[in-house]
Amino acid sequence: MSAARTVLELQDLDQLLELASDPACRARLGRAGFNFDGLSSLERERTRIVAALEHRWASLYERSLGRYGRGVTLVRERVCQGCFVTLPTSAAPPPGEGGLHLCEGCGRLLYCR
Amino acid sequence: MVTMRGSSWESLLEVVELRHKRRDSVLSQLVAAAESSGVVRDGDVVMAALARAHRVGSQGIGHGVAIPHARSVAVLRPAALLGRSERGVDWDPGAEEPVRLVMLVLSPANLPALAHADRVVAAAHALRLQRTRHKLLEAERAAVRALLEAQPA
Repeated sequence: MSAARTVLELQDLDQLLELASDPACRARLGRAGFNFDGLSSLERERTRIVAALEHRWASLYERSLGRYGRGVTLVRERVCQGCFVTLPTSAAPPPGEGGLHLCEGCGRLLYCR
Repeated sequence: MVTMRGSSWESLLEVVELRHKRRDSVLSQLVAAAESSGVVRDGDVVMAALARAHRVGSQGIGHGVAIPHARSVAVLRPAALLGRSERGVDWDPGAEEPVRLVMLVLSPANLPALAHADRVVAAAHALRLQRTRHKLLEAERAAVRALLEAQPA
């Protein structure tokens, strides 16, 4: 699996962890019939995914998560969707090509595709 | 903010007639529909998020209804897709009845967790009445949105 794909999976896993750990979300979803019996498996999966990720991307992800609450931010039309700075052409991948980059404006880890 | 209560079913993207009996195949069909509508950027990432959410807890909520949901960086805007199955879907092993209505709820990563939870709960709320579920299974596609919007908040 590519680093970009692994980081996206990590981000989605963290989003699910946030949802399943939030008491208000749990209560509302619980009343609607949802359960979270397998929550403990998420932590194990997270450890496994982080271990599989190259150290550089893992630390950039954790730094972005700690600072902004999300590990990865999307790029649309060469604009960072976190700080809305337009990336220089040299920093953005060619159209149709995915990859991880760093925003020069805010330091967020960016997913371009 | 996009919600799904009362008259705010604008995020209902599509009604899909489900061809498969297996949960994974049904999810693939719905995610592919979302991808071709431009709501999903990377179907594989969303499929992985849905599979993970199912491992945490089944999204079959009984009465032949399942509400798989994901909040993902690969989702570009809030959307919901309703899948209908004549034959029924084998959602959970050992479930009392097959699932016939699948409401896929997708939210982008920047939607707060509580807002996503509210969208999921609203979908469950809209499908809680047996008569509504029957009508949704029988209705013409074009009438589905109106049926959902007619549900009391």
